[in-house]
Formats: sequence, C-alpha cells, structure tokens
Amino acid sequence: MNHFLKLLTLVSFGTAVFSQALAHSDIEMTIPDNEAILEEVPETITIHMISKVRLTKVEMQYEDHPIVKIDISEYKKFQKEFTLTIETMGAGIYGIFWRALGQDGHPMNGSFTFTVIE
Amino acid sequence: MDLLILLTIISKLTFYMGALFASGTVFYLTFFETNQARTAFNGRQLTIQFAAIGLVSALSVFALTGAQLTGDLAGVLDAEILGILFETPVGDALIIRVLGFSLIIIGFFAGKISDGFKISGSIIVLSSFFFIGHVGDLPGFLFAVLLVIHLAGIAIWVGILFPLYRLSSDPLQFTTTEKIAHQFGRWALYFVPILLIAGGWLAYKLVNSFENLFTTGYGQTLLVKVVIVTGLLGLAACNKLRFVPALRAGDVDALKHLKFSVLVEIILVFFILAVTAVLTSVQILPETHHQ
Repeated sequence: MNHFLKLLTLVSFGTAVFSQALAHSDIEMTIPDNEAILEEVPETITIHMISKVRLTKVEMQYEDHPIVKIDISEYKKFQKEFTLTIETMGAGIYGIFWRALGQDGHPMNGSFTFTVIE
Repeated sequence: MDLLILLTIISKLTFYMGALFASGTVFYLTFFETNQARTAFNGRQLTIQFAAIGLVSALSVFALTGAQLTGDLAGVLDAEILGILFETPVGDALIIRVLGFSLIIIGFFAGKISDGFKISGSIIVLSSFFFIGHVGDLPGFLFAVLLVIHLAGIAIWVGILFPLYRLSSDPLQFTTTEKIAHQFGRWALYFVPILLIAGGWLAYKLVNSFENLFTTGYGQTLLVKVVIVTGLLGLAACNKLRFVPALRAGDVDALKHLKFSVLVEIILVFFILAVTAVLTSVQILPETHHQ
C-alpha cells in the first residue's frame, strides 16, 4: 500500500510540474522591432501594448555591462504606448526588459533586443 | 522557473487549500456532523487552522504579485507598487478574502449566529475567485454564478475528506462513518454532476476551442487536471458503489478500504490544486481572449 502511495505521489507530482512557464506576450509592437539591426543607437525606445497597462519597471542591458534602470517616472497611468529615453552606449547588442500591471491586476513581463552595427 | 513564480505557485496552492478546506469543513459541520462524530473529529480546530492558512496565503499572494511587478523579493514591501496593485481587482479580491476568512474564524466565537457567520464567510471566500484569475476575464454574470457553483461543489467534496478519514480510522465510529458516508453519497448524486457540468463549461469557454486543448500550454495543463479529476471520480465511484454498501452490510474490512480510498482522494485533491496554481500563475489563456 505504501509503494502504491509513493508511486501515486511521484506520478501526480511529475504531471503537475511538467508545464513550463510561459512569458506573457501582451506586447503589440516595439520601436525598434525585436531583433532589429540598426545603424545608429536610438535615443528613445517605444513599447506599444495590446491593452492599457501601468509600467512598473524597465531595464536595459548593453552587451555584458551591468543592467541599468530606465526612468519611467513620467508614466503614472494605465496606457497603451510608452516612449522612454535610453542611454546610448555605442555599437553592440541592447536588451530591454519590462514589467507591467494589467488593468485586471495581472502582472506581465517581457523583453526585446536590438543590435547596433558600426 | 524563477523563484518569484515558484513562491507565487506555493502561496496560491496554500490559499486554495485554505479556502476550499475551510469552507468545505464549514459545510461538513453544518450539514453532515452528528453528535457522535463530534467526539472523534474536532472540525472546529481544523477549520480555524485552514482559515488562518488561507488568510495568510491571501496576503502573501497579494504581496508576491507586487514582487512580480518589480522583479525582486523587495517588491513584497514596496508601498507604491502595492498601492497601485490595490486599486485593481486584485485589491478587491484581497479585501473580500480577508473579510471571508475573518467571518469564518469569528463564526466559531459568535454564539447563536455562528452558522450564519461561517456560511456567509465561506461563500464570500469562494466568490472572491471571480475578481481575480482567468474566469474573471470572461464576460457576463453567468460565469460568476457557474464559478461559485463549481467551487461550492468542490468545497463540499473536499470538506468531507478529513472528517471521513478520521472517522474511518476509528473502528468505534463504524456506524457514524457509515451514516455520514451514505448521506454524503446521496448528496454527491446531485452536486457532483452539477459541479462537473459547471467546470466543463467554464473550461470550454476559457480554452475556446477543442484544438486549443492540445496545442496550447493552458489547454495541456487543463488536460492534466482533467486526468487527475477522472481518477478522483473513479475513487468516488468505488466509495459509493462498493465500500459504503459494504459498510452498510456490516463488513468491518470496508472501513480500511474506505480510509485508504479517502487518503488517496486527499492526495489527488492536493495535486489538482497544484495544477490549478500552475494554470493561474504561469499559463496564459489561448490568444483569442487577449483581443
């Protein structure tokens, strides 16, 4: 009987955790596009969401430099479009990571990258 | 899977257990408990414990949602972020949950009006699920009613498990176990089909198409839940058709079989709630609901 319970627990646990986490994909488009290749570093980035959200955190990583916070203090309302000023650091790969709150209370997050070539 | 998501899933799991077992045990105490059963199983203490677990878990689910918005654990104490979150339906759900669990706990010290407090607290806790989560995304009052019916049915089912396990562990409670199990089986004939139809309809509306059930992460996780629920139904059928009739015929061994069957049911309920916590934490609804 104990063996049966152990087996049942293992099988149930296995099936319960098999699902992998999925990133929320509530973003409509970004400027620059995800994986865009640019000739110069943009001064701003723009995020268009499918529905109104409140941005709670945006960070940028340039190459293997430390992650820096992007100022979002001017956005204090739920809205669909956000244009943010970024620090220009030269040619290389830029990663943007964002977190937001949907009006229904769902937390969301996502990221996009772009590359600047000489 | 990152630490925040894992902690959120664990908190949701303990919250679901608190909500369903606390309200379920209230339903047991109100509709099934007999004076004889009271001597072998202290449902009051267990209900208060589950309500306290639910209360603490509701607060931690709220705080961890705040942490998901900042990306680090410090977010659980970020007053600005938690303030923004409190303005959304997540804040409404928190208020309702705290109220519901508090009513259940206060109900045990409320004298003559205690049943009113406990029952209304249980229904308030179950209703809070509509304010938050994927079913809340569905339009219309009908889904709110379906969800509360579905959850009340589950609560009645899981609420009988701990008392029945304790009673079937005690040979002196043979007659009481047989009476309560038989009465529950008669109730189950009505509420189990209703809870299954309500759950099936909600699932269909959430997944949106038969194809999405197999091709999306949400649909696949839901299928896992359905498989475990099917196992639970199989055990319930064994109880109803074999063990309880054997008890009524005076078969002492049937008490052991019933006890084991109820223990397996408790384990399966735990995993159903774990899958549900995964569903509501990391899986997104199929695309059409975002448009």
